[in-house]
Amino acid sequence: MPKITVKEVKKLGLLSRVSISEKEASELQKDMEKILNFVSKLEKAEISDTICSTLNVEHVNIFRGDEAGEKPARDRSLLKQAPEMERGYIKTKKVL
Amino acid sequence: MIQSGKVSARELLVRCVENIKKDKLNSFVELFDDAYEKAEEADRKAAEGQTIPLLAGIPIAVKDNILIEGKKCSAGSKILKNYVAPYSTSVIKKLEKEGAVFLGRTNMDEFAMGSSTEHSAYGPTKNPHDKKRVPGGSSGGSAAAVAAGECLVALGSDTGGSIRQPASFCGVVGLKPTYGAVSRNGLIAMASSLDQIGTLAKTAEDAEIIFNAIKGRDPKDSTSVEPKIKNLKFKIENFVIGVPKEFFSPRGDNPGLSRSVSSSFKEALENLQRRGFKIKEISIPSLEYATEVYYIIMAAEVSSNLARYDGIKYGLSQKGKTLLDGYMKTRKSGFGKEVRRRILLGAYVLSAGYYDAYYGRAQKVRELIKNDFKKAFGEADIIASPTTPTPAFKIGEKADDPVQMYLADIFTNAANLTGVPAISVPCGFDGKLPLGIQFMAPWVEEEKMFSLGKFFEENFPIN
Repeated sequence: MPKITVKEVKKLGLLSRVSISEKEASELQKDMEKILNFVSKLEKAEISDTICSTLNVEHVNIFRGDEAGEKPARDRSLLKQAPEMERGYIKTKKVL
Repeated sequence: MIQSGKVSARELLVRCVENIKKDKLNSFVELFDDAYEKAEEADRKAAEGQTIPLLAGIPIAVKDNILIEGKKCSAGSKILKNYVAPYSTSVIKKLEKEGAVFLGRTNMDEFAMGSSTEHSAYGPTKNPHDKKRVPGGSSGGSAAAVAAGECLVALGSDTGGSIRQPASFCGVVGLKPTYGAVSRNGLIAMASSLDQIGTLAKTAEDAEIIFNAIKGRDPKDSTSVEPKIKNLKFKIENFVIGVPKEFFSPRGDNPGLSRSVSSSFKEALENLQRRGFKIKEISIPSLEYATEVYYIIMAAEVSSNLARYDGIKYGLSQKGKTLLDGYMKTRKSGFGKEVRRRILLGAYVLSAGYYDAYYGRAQKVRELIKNDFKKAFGEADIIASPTTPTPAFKIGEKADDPVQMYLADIFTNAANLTGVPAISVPCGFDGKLPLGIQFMAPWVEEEKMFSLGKFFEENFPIN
């Protein structure tokens, strides 16, 4: 029983917003199956009482003063890179 | 040297650019024209008798995923081919203050995904020691540039070994600092719980100088920390160097390790032992899962980080009939094969039906590895291993087999999963191909690693 099917690969493509051709879907299916078999070694790991922490270095909460900083001028230079703009706004196709 | 006028910054820069043109390694994606102005400025200040900062006039190469305001930054991808950085990375600002000259951006695997720099939209980089071979990756351009005298030092990023593995393949020093020791503000994100900016340099001392210039807390990166000043009054001759038996057995054979790597690593340990270091076999049982854990967590974070490239806000944009159609087309033509593969894999391991089996499990095993490292540093000051299982492989050799490519990072993934600092230092050759040894230190104790690295270079020089 394969770990992943071509149909699932296509579905993942849709969920990830990446168009996948028929040919690529079948190549990806083989690659992903290989990778999933490779990582399946983790099934052996004994993790029953492990609780995850999220940080690699001991962190404490750091507050910053409520001070106005320099106004970032970069917003405009980033906006200029938008493929389509109208009246200072980024233009997209209808979302809903 | 620049301060005293013995060497001019302009001369240094000209020499680097000559080497770039002569070598044709494809290590740079772009050279910056304004580098000459910056170099001349350093020379002028020195000639006027002004005290110039430490790095004034030093030509530094910058990996193509680190933003410099007003310059293109493409992360080795078509999707960002014409993207112009709207601001500079905090690290770049710090180096600018020190007077550094950025001479160009270096080639890399697309979005730092790869171990060979073959997955770049701008063609592969060649290894300066053998042009038929890869320089490693993903910071392959930076490593090749340092090795070939195309810059004095280079910045890279390391998510699973992307600085240390190419450093080993190219015969230079590669440093991945402690997670959080250096700000990532302005680094194009790949996997945020693993990414770290670091340096590629000729010597451990150079790596240390750059590290000291770029380290420290940055309000713009909430994961960055000001390293606590520890009482690091250590004598390196008292160091216990731990060698995890899961990585290397000095007695038995080491399947997966090439013979040259095995013998040069063994020789390095024997040399250290002769100089009074205690070499201790230690056990880090969870280490056997590091690469598997890495590939699940990394892919998951990649799939979420790269969701921002949609063809709407910036970057490549392909028109579609509908919004969805536009996304699908843009991301298909903008991302290369390996990036698409990892995005899909990430979506798979995060999907409702498989989350617990893959991502959830991987996070727990990551915790085991972290705990095991804490224990290991209770009995050793430094953990040593080869940096890579083989010397540089041929261009195209592993390009079609993702799992084989992933195994190139088997010794380096653990430092990213745990966050500890690690450095790769050259330790020998296989014919003309360089080999490296990796030293890992406890969290925020980079100083130990630099001391040992410098000792190693001074006492066991390689030709």
